[in-house]
Amino acid sequence: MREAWQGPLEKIDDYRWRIPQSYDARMQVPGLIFASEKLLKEIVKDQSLQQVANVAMLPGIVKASLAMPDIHWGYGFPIGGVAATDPDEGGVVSPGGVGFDINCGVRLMRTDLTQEEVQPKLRELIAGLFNTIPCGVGMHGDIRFSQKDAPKVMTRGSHWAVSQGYGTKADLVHTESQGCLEEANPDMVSERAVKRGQSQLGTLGSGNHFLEVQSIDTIFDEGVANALGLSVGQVLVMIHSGSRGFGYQICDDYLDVMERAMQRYGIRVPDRQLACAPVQSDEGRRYLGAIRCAANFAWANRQCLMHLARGVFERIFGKGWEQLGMILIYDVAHNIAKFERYRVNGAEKTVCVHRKGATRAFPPGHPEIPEAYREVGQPVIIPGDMGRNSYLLAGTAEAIEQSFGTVCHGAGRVMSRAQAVREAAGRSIEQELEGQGIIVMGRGRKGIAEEQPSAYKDVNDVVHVVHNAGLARRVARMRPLGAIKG
Amino acid sequence: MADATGYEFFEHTADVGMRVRGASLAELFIHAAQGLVALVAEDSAIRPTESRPVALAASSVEELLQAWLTEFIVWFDVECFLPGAYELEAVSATSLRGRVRGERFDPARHTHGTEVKGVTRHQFRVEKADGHWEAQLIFDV
Repeated sequence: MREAWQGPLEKIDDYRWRIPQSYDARMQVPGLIFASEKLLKEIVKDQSLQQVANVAMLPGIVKASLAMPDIHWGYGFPIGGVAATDPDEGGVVSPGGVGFDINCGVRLMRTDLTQEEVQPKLRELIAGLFNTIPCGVGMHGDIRFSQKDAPKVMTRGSHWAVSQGYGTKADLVHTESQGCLEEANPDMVSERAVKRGQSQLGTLGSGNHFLEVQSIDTIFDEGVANALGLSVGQVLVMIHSGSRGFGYQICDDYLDVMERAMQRYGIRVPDRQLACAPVQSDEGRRYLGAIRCAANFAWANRQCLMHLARGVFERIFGKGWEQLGMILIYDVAHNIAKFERYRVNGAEKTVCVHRKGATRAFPPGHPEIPEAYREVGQPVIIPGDMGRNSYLLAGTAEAIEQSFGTVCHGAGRVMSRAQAVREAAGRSIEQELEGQGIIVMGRGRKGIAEEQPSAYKDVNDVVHVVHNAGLARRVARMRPLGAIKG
Repeated sequence: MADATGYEFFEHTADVGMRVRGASLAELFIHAAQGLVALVAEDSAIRPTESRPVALAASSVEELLQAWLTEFIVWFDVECFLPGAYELEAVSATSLRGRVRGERFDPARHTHGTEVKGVTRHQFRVEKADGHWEAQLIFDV
């Protein structure tokens, strides 16, 4: 099924490649891929570049169908795909450009602890996190909301979580969109979605979701690192999760709605998963109203997860989380569709930006980033794999020009799950990681094998492209100390 | 094509592809559900202690198969219910009716497999060929 790319690919420079619009008459814009020659060797092996071309066929798409260097084969959009559509020109919104896990994202929290202080208690810490934070299939959480409270979770997001005591107002300031998208419409959400979400707040999920304890091993930009209060050896906590069953159900519900809408509006797309409707249609507005609820649910979820993690640190280190300096650095969404303003063909326009496995990266001075980061740019969190590194970057003005203020979202898979399990046969990935000083605890038998480091591209190669293409600049690199997985 | 179990998984970079085969539409649906359960709970033995009715209608056989699998994804998400035995009384290309027996997920006895988020529509196919039914789909995991 991994059909290699046979189409044209034109080199623009060392980090940019183009699929010309002439490749397929249905393409409205060219494809633009940010990658190095090294990464491209893997990228061409699966169907992701065909998916870049497919996205270029969406009605109302502007500038280009973009792909980040962590691109790989997804469904509908490639993972690592970015597209902006112009609502005034019949531009569409597509669930295939957001995915099932609406507002899957990452948050990064600092601590005042150093690696030396954490090391003697590392096993106890990871076990504490593993036993406290529900992870893996069939594991429900204790943080529940009633049917009556459901609209509050959907419309207030992280603000609801903070109102229940899961964190403080300062956390909200350091969250993309302050952890709450306006114009979320609970009337557009099915009862089934609410049921799926009710016992899943404060749960991690499985697959590639994780909570990782990391230490900073390199600082690239002293100025920005100082502004964020970061130095080498400092311990950080990274959380990767999304909107859980609540968001998955909203995606599923609206795929059906969009398929019917396409017949109504006479839209044709090359892949059923790219089903879409004009942003300015009833179906488009309903979908946007619903996904904002899911985005808010996801922010509430990550807020609850962070609260649970703080509690574990308090228990293990015998101090309050404030005393431990456990301040949220930032929280970013990497599966989302939002309205943002950009210059398109010489005019300032509001466009609908789809980020499917891609992260918002706004430059210094941008009004949507918190006061504290106004001079340095938005913190951009790029998780790698559990054996190598993760990164903290800062947004640049160039990303606004080149990629609708967007960069990659991680390392990107290079190996299928089945192949990863085969590669791990007769080995214990946990023991191998422990040999490198990394303690990983997971519920599933196959989960850790599927998520082994070699299943991913090297995040260092991915970030190299993003940095050198000017889309964001490196601030700090982390290495994992321990992680919990589903 | 699908092995003796009636389903097989194929490689997809990020997610999980599945091909399913059945002598009849009913068998195709049962094999697809068994494949889904194999992902979620791997080789766990499932006791048929709880019986539930299932009745679905859709506008095409593709939508019916999506609805059937989504039903189990939702049951598992909400109540940790794992299906283990299927009695389909009436199956057509656009509707089905029957009962499903199974039990709640028990971490002490069942294996934690992969959380299935949903059934994608990417490369989704249901076809009748040489007197049997075949389907191909990709789960988001």
